[in-house]
Amino acid sequence: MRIINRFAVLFILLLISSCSEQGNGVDFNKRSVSVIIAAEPPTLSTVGPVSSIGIFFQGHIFEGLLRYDENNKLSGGVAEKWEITPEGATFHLRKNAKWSDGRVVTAHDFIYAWRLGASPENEYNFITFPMKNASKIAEGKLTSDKLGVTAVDDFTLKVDFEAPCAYFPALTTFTTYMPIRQDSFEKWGADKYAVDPEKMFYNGPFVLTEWKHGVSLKMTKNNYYWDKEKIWLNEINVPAITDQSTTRFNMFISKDVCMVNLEDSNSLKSALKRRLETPMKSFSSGFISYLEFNNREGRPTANKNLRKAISLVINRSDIVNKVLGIPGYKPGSTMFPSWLGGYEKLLHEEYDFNLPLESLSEAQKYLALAKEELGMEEITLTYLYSGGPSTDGMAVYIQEQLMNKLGIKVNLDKQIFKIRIAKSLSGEFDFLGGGWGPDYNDPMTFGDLLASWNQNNRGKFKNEKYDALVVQANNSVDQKERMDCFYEMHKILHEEVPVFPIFESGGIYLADPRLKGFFRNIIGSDPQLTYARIEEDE
Amino acid sequence: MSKYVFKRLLSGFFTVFFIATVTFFGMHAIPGDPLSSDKVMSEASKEALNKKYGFDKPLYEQYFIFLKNTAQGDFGMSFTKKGQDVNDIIKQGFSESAKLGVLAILFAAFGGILWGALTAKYRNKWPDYLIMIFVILGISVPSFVFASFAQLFIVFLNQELNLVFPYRGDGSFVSLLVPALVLGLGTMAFLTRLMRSSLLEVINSDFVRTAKAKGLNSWQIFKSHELRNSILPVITILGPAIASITTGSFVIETIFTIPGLGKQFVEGVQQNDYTLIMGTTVFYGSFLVLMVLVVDIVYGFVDPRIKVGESK
Amino acid sequence: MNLIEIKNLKKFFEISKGSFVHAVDGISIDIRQNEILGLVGESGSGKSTLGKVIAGLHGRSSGEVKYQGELLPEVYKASDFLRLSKEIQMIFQDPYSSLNPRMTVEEIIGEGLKIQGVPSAEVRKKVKEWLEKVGLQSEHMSRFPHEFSGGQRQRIGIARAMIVEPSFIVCDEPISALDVSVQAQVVNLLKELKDSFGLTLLFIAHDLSMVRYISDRIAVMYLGKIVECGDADEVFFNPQHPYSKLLIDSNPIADPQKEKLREFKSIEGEIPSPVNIPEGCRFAGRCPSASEECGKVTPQLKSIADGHEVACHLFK
Repeated sequence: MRIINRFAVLFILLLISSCSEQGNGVDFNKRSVSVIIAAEPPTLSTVGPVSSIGIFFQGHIFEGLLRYDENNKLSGGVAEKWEITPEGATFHLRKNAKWSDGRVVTAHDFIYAWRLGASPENEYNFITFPMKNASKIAEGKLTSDKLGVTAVDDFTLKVDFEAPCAYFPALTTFTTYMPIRQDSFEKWGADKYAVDPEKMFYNGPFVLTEWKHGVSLKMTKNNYYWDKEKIWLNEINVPAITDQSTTRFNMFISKDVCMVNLEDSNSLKSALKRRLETPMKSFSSGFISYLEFNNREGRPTANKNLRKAISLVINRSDIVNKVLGIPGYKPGSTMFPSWLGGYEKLLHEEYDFNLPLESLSEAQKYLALAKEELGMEEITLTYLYSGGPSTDGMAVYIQEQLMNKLGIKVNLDKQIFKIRIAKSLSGEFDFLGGGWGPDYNDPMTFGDLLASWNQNNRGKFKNEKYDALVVQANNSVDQKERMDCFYEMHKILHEEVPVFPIFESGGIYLADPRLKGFFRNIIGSDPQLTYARIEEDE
Repeated sequence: MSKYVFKRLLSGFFTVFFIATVTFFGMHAIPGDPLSSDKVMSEASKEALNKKYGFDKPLYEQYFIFLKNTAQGDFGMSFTKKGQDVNDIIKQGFSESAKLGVLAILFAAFGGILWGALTAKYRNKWPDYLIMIFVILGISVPSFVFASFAQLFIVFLNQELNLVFPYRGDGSFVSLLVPALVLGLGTMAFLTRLMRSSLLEVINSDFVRTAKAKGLNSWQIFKSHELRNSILPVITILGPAIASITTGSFVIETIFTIPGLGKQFVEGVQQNDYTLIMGTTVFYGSFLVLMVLVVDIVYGFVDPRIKVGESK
Repeated sequence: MNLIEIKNLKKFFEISKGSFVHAVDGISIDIRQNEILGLVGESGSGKSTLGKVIAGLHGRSSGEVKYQGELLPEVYKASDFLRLSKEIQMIFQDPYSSLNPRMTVEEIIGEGLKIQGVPSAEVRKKVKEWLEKVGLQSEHMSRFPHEFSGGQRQRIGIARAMIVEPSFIVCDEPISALDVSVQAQVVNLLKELKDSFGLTLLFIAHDLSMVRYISDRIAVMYLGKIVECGDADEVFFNPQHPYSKLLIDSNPIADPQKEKLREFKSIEGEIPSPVNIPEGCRFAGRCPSASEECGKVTPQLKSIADGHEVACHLFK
């Protein structure tokens, strides 16, 4: 018995001694914040696989020619001024922009990075296509030194466009456009560059000081950063990595992280139940989700009337409000989500994207037409999708609607992500649950998705008028003309229904009320903590 | 004995070889590859990358390269975790999983024996019924449900009582206790039942009466007679239990943010990370084969009537 | 001088609410210092239960058991076992199941001494000694029970009981599970041990000739009661109780010629259930000379000759 007692005492002592301080979510004295991420970035190389979690880090540790400032407005980064013409752009680099070892950032660091970015081995090379010769380099027809970018001198960078590119300045904030130190990249090689803190140099407001793979990461303030006076934070910690939303929520409740997304209805309910003092805020992820029909020959969904019939029986707001019930989601009637900017204001404020839908009774008419054209009595379709319980709900809803309203039998083909991708590329589906997120802040990031040459056009939709509009918008620098083009594209999609948009995703998040000056971004680092500060405790 | 071990190792080697081969070809038969992502890359990019990673070679050639590298103990680099050796991922992941697994097995074994003994001692009385209710819960409720509840409970407790008990794995030993307990729960429940029935058999046997006649008290009898004779079934399932605990820890690991191998394994499968899948599969396969062999050998020590390696 | 004194000992087992098995139902008997008392009876007569109650393996329902004049506790606590196991030991019937299969011979034999706090080197020495004393070899120490024959195992069982050097041993049918060829060896071993250590034995068996051979006195048990008790030869050659007579008559004679000629008398009927004990003499239902009185009044043990007691209404 005495032994057992001793053990008990020892055990309790162990418990007490091991308990860490509570709440490192925000720390005023250390000027540090902690955030939780769902997955480890595969790499922090800006020419490696692109991931949103990678962009979160890259947006803090690297800086492009331009950046989003403390008001989230586009402003000078490494470049202090720039000029843009339909033929190209010139960037003038500031002379005090430095790497984390004190070396000055020069135009050559950008050229080196962009050439890598345009090469066939970079899967995201399409993002460099506005530059002259980029698409030929990506196809392997030209070597990367032919890329339309030159250094006039160490601090002047000249870009030649393939076609006029009005949004190029904004594009330079994207991760592929960040500079790379040639010496570091060559020392470690493409595979090992930027996979550990010591295997890269930094020119952003922060440097990565710790990366325990699969466990935690840490960024600390970069003392060589040219604008370091504006940076209040000393540390950004990532204490853990987990894709369990409940765990992340629990970490916020325990004040171990400064911010959390309420991604499922459970954590939302539990947040409501606890009557947290923290106000709930919403954010948009920028993603649009849609059904994509297979337009390949021989597929019943290649028939426009069938697509129209289907689109008429699926109610977006029912899916969003009744089936999914995920806070922050809103029904989406277009492939051009509502957050996109237009020529002056928001795109949706300038054009009406909620074109009237035909009545439900028309669906039967279209179905009858489709059956006649296809010469089919019974129609059976395969719906390819992946994801969790909410997408299951959506699939079942669609299955039931099509059966009840149209008598169409739907086979559900649920696959893990990678298999869904492979099957969608090879065309093994009639329609699939697709989604698209923006790469840059311009409607074109969605607009050219359904261009017939786009690889991501998985339904192989081909419409000459649509393709022409994409080209026109690409070649114009007149924003009004371009926006008109996008609206025309929307009308074609509305009429032809190669895709049926369902919702714009977003979410609700909680942030520590003491945390100020951060941004939830659709493009670029999300959250953007560069200019964050913490209010002192009362 | 050594001949027996050699024979078992050899057959184990073929088992692992078989598993590896089936996994290799199965993995490649599944649509998609490690390079595919939400946004399609151009054909040129695809070609360039396929060439870089050797996917342009015929499958049998890739297979032989895999065999050759594996024979040299090199699983290659992960596709999705850039710059990380699969060997390192396994080493790190397994050391975490092993800590968790060993603790879980300890909890399961001690708990199972303790509860089993209590239910046998109080057969058909209320402690028996009470424990058996929990046993049924433990067997039927999946561990991730317990895990979520346990974590929520700790967070709630911390808030209400102003404690700072770790609710997730932060690298400390204490933070592993609850995850290990949850992880071992199913096995513990199963062991409790097993222990109960095998103890009930032993409790009424003649040699327990003999022990009583020797003058032993009930603890001494339990320790050196009842336990020793009823523990064999426990050891029997320990091999499979170690297997299920080390491979089944994925959910627990993600919920409690423990960077273990189970998590890596599942992530590898989800990402089609060929090298990671093969590395973890071969590793788990060998580990299981070894565990079963160890259990068989331990058998011989626990029950002298079982002669390991002697044919009848 | 009596080593064990038993007075009106009863042991009931509750099998369900309100219904009891009367395994031992009011037995009074003394066991003298340095004697072997043979206890015979059919299966189910309660002889094993009596032995276990004396050894403390069963608590008793009522009555007294005295050892060297000391009243033994009704139900043994752990400390009672520890103390009394040095005095009273038991040898069990089945040498196969009564030895723990996971223990070495050394552990099995030595355990009784070890718990008394004897240092392990001493225990080892004693185990060696006792293995040799019971006719085994000291190198058998590290072996397991399954490596031995039945006779050898029973020797292990004997060594196990003897190592604490008790003064009284209950032998619960120690030879009934053994081959006939080794029975005598074991019985002789017990006899030798008794002589050289001055033991007192309660020898429970149903093999009458073996009991007569080893015992000084014999008690015959029927359905929880002793029906006859006396000197071994007296009871064997001159049984008085009708049950004893039948029991002894049913014993085969070792001479095949005579055995062939022997009139075979079996006891009619089954032994009644010990749950519902009949009124009067328990044997009345099967007794060839039962009278009306036998069905009503339970006969008490009465002395009919010097040291020869019988419980039967035939003797007034």
